[in-house]
Amino acid sequence: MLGFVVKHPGLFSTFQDEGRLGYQSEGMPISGAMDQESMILANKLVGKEQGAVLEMTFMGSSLEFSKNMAIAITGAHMQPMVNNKDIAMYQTVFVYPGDILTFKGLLSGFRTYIAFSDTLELDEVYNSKSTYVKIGAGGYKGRKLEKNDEICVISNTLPLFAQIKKIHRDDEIRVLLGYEFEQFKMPESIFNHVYKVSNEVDRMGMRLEGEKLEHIESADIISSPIIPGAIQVPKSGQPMILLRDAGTIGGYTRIGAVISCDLDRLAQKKPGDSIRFKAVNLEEAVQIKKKWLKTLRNINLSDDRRHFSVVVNGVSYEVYVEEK
Amino acid sequence: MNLTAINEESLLVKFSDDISEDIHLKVKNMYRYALKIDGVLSVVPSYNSLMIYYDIMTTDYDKLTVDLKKVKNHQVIQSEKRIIKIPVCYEMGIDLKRVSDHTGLSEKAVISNHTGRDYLVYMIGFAPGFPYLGGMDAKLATPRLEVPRTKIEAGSVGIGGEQTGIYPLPTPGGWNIIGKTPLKLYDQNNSQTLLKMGEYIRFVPVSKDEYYKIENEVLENKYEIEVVSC
Repeated sequence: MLGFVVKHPGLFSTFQDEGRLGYQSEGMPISGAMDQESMILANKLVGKEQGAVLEMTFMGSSLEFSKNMAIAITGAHMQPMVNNKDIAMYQTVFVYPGDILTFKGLLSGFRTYIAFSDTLELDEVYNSKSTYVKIGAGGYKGRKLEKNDEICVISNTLPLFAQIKKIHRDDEIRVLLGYEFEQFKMPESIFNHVYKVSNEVDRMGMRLEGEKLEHIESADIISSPIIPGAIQVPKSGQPMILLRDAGTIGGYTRIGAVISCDLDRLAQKKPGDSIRFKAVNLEEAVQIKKKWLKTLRNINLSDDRRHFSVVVNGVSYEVYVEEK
Repeated sequence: MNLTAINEESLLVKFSDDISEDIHLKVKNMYRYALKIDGVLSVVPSYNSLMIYYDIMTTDYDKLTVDLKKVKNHQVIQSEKRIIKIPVCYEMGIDLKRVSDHTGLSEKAVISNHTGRDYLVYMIGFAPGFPYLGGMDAKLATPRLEVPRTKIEAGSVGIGGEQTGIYPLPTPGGWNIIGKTPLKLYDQNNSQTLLKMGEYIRFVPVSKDEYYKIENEVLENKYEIEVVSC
C-alpha cells in the first residue's frame, strides 16, 4: 500500500536505522542514523522502539502522503510545514491523504529525521534497513531519494499524541586518546586548538582544518580496524573523523576516537562549524554512555495539552489546547 | 598481546608490528574465541590486530581483558586449509603489458607466476568482500598507476605495489589490472561475500569463452565454486 510520494528529494535523504553491528569482519560498515539519539526520539514519538527513519542532510525532502499516519520530526531545525503551515518538531504529527510535508530551510544543525508510525517497505541487508549508497544496499533501492519515488507501507498502527521537551544536549565533543596516540609528537595539542569542519563532510567522514598534528615518524600503519568516531591523521597532519559509513579497515595513524554518544552531536556539525575537543578517560566515557542510555530509557513522553470533549450539533469532537 | 581501549564500547587487541602467517593464526584463533565471549557484539580481524565491540551493560573493559588473556593458554590450532579456486581471464588484463614491461617478465611468465601459488586471505575489509591477500611473489611488484582510474569493474584482478587483490565492486582505483574473474566477491542480490578470513585462494587461468560461460552460470546460480581442502 502506498505510503507517500517524494515530491522533492532534498539534497541527500536516505533511510537509516540503528545500523548493522556484527558484520564488520565481512567488510560491511556499521552505517545507520548519524544522529542515533534524534532517531530514537523520533521513533518514540510515533510509538516505536526502533525502525527506519528518513535522514535528510542540509535540505529537507518534500513528501506527499497517500494515507493517514503519524510522523515525528527531530534533529536539525529545517522549519517543517504541512500544507504550508508550520508544524512543531519533537511531537507527534498526524497526517492525512493529500497532505504535503515541506521544509522552509535549515536554521541550525545539519541532519533532520522523520519517523513514521507505519512500517515502510524497505530493503533489509545484514539485519538492517540502513542505506549504504556505496554498494547500493539497504533502504529504498540502496540509494538516496529521488523525485517521484513511491514509498509503500507494509503495516500500520496509529500512536497517541506525545511530545518531548527537547533533552539537553551539551556541545562538547569528547575524545578518548588511544590507538597510536603515542606516535604523535604532542597528542594533547588536539585539545588545545579549535578545529573547523571543512567542506569534505559526508556519511563516511569529516575532514577538519586547524592545528597540524605532527607524527614522530610515519603517518602510515599496518592496515587495522577503525570504528565510527576514530580520528585518523594522514601525513598532512589535518585530522579526519571517520563516521558510520567509513570502510572497516584503515591505514593511517589514529590519535584516538570521539566517544559514541558525541557522534550524535558531531552529526549536526556542518561545513564551517568549529569543534573543540575535550579529553575524557575510559571511566568517564563509560559513565557518559550509561547516563545517556538511562536518559533515553526514562524519557517522558508527556502530553501537556488540556483535553476537552465537546459536542457540537450532536457531533462529538476531541479538542486539545496547547499552552504556548 | 597488547590491549587498548578505543572508545567506551570497543577495544583493540594487537599482537605485533608485522605481518606474518604466524601472527595471522593468532588473530584467527582470537577471532573465534572472542566471538563466544558474553557481551561481545562484533569482532573485526586484521593483519596483526582485532577490534572488539562490546555491550557495556553486559561486560566492561577490565572483565574483557581478563577473558581475552585466557586465550593465551589456548593452543593455536591450524585447521584444515581451504583453497578457493578463482577463475581469471588474463586476456582481459588491460595493464598486463605494463606489469610485463616493469618486471621484465613476459606476459606468459607473469600469468604463470601469478597462478602458480596460493594466497592467504588475511582479512576482509575496506569494502564488503574485499580480500587483503598475502603471498604474492615480489618479482611481480609493480607500482600503482600515477593517475588512478575513475572506475574499475567488479571482478578485476590487480597488482598494486607488492600486493595483489580483487575488486569486489566497481570503484575508482590505481592498481594494475592483470585479469578479471566472473565470480562475485560480494553478491548484491543476496548480500553474501565469497571469501572468509583465513582461507586461501588460487587463481586459475581461463579463456574469454570460459569466462563468459562461467559468468552466465554465476548469473543463473548454477556455478559451483571449486574448493580444495588439505
